Amino acid sequence: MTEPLLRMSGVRAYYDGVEALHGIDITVDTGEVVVVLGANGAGKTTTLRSICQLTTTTGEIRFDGDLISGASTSSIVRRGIAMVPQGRGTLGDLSVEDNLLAGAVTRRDKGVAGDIASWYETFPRLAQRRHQTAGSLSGGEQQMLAIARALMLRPRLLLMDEPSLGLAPVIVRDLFDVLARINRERGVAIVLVEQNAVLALDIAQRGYVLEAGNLVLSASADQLRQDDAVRLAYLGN
Amino acid sequence: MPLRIERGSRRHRLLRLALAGGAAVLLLGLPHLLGTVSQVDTLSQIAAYSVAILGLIILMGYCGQISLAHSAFIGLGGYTTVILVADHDWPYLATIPVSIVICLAVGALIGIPALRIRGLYLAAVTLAVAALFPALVIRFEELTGGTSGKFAREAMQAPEWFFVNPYTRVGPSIVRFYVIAAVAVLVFLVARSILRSRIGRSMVALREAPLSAAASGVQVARVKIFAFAISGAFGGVAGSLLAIQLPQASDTRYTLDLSIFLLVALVAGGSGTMLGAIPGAIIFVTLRTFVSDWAAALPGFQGSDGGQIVGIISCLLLLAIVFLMPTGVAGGLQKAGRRLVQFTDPVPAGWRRFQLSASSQPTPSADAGGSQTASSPQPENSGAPTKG
Amino acid sequence: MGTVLSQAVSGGQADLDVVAARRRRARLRAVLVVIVLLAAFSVWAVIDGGAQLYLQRFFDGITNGLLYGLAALSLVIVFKATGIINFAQGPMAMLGCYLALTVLEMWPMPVLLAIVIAMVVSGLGGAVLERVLIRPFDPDNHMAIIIVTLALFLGFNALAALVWGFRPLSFPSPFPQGTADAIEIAGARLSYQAIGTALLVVGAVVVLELVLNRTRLGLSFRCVANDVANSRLLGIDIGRTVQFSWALAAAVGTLGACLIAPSTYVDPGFMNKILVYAFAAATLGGLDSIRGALAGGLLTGLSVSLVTGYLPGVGSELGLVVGFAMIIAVLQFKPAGLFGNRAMERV
Repeated sequence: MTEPLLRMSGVRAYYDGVEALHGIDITVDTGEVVVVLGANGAGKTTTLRSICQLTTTTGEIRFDGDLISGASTSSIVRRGIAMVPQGRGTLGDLSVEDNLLAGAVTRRDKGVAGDIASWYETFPRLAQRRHQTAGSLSGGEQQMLAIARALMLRPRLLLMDEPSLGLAPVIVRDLFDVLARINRERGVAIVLVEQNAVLALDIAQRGYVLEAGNLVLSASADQLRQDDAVRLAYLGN
Repeated sequence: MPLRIERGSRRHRLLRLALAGGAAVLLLGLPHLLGTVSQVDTLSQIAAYSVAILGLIILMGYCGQISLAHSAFIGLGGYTTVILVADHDWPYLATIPVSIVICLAVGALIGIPALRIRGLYLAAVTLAVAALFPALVIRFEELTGGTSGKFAREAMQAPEWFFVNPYTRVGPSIVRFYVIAAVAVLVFLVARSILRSRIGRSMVALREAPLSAAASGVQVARVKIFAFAISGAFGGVAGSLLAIQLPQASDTRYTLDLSIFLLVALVAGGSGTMLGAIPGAIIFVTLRTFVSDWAAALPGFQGSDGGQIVGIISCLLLLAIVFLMPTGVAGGLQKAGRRLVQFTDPVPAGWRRFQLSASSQPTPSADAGGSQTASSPQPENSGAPTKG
Repeated sequence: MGTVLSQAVSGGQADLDVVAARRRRARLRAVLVVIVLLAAFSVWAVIDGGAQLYLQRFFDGITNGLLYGLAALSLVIVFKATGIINFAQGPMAMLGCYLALTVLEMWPMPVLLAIVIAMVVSGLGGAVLERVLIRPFDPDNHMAIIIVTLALFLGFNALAALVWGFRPLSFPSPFPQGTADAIEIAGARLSYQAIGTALLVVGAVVVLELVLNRTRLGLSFRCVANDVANSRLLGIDIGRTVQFSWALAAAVGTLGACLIAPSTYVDPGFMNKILVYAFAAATLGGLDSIRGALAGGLLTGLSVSLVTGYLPGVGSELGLVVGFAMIIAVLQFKPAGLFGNRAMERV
């Protein structure tokens, strides 16, 4: 089997007719953590949005061999791609428990209650606040809830858009531990868009660098760490 | 290839002069071409309603505020005229300023809640105003005549020197049409200068990007209240003009349905340009008179069913336009017109001085100007560079 | 894992709690102001006209208020899911009511059964309307959707007048309606009809809450009401959920119209007046709160009944003015309504 879990070939994305991605090729293998680096406006978020078909795209996107470009977002999500959008990935007016239930709203199996219980075990804070609205949680708790909510879908691919944004450094470290463990234990592939390149490269196997809507570099995490240009631009040394 | 005419050029001025002349000839000649009283009266109604729709266009098309209260303004204007003429022996034309003042005030009042709320709430408030008006008419019976309505006995008379002979059968109708049309033209000119003024541009800014408009110094409160007041005043003028055409007022004439029918007319005519009021008014009056008569004469329907069929047709018409032609008849005509003639903005004198670098900056060539006018005319285009 | 997180309570947490508490207090204060106003008016009313008359007005107000609340509910359901006020809600409910009437005429059956049939049919009709006329538009294109609902307002009113005429028809009550069918409390009549209506409304609201809080579709609905973009990422079919809200609103609206009809009469415009009261109730409740709509309905009903019943010069025909004044007052002093969460844009 050479077919990767996700393959984007020659994908161009558009906002109101303006091209934001100029034909990029990205692959993600099963169980892999891939980081996407780039400056603001380079098209990182757009890449994730293209995978979920939240923007107009041309080119080919295949998930598990099936063509998903052109499909509706809800059908793509049902296939097993979960996305945690930038900032607030939770439903602020709903309780923590309802958020988790909402994450599994497309699932028809009996395992939902068990999954919720296991997430409460992972994040005891969420269990304490299960009847509070998600909007009343702290930033770190909301991000944890967003991840748990996304994983309630039991996805095979998790798209994370700048999970560290606006969080205290100590919480960010914790967050990446969680992501690494989720990847290790559940075999969920992760595409991570992140400004905090040091931490992201720690848990990633491979990475891509975007610049102004073009893919300029594709290498293993180690190679990226060694690359002078990347070090200068994203690692700060 | 469309014909390109530069704004402000001699050809442009000539074209505009010719169009204005044509319109004047049409307005003056049309009533004489039509033979019967009812046809001329229909024409008067179109002129009067175009003023009302113009008020809506200013509010909804330019300022982006929804109003369903227009029936109340038309009613206010109508009752003002009829009451002053019937009970106080005022001349008809003198009542129009009174209508304007009353409706300006009431419009501004309705505009006040619009400061705190937007879109839907506003529509709800104005809907309540429209629903309220007939109830108020019935409540203040001694003033308005209540459910039996109010009538002015004497129709409007032309002065002796007027060039239309009032002693033919069509004469009085034609006189009334000229008066109504003259007032309507005046109102359109006023509207044009308002929309071209600073406050008119503020309205558009407010519609397009309220936050940016406020941030760049548009006085949101003042502009919104002004838009409501002006729109209300135009409604009042229309009410007075309708009362000139037919001097009676009753609670059933100014219902919420009238507001929604006007909305149909607005959307059908096109709310993007002032001139949309004219096709709008034609559609409105056609629906309410000719289509109504035609429908009532259909086999299987009674005379009273005409109004219902018009309601259903209006509903379908509105849906069809929203789906197929969101810019309305006027928008469609404009688009077709652009295939024939395109107006380009003149290149500002000495623009080269403001060019930053010869190669990288886009230059305001005739070509760029042409493509911009194709999407939307932008007067700033010519004004901005010369300012600095 | 998660241990650092559970210990590191960021400063934002305390702030959020303070904001929530402040909001709760503000809400409580607003409700208190309204209740104090009503109570003060009531005291004056009792002194002015005696306890029996007051109690009668009170009962009338509560009964009407519950019905206004139900009508408001049908507006709120669609508003929550779409951010749109469905101006055709009144005429849709009116058509549902005529439908129940026609069903009753054709096949003899209990009134309640006819109402349920009409509710089901209206629900289906609402779903079809959404699919055909609403979904083709960009959900953010509010102006176009409002124009569609206004077109329907016109069309439905005309259709009803064409089919059933303007003659006011009486609608049978599902409850005994005779002069003797009432209980007396301190000399004031509380008819079985009023009691039954109130119970039905409360029952309907309970069922609605259960549907929204306990079912998968209800959960989808609450997600969409909260955040459309996030809901899409949950795999929720937005169109289907909005369709569900239209169906639900149409059914609730029909129930409301059928319960209002016995105390008025049915003609093509009979729900238009109610629509103003429903707006008042929904605005008072905040437009995005189900319980708020019901509470707003109660307050509207009580205020209209008391003000028109007691203030000299305000006849019953000016009830609409009271409703209007309430809308204006709420928007002026508390634009988000008494129970609403949605912050109003103010530019």
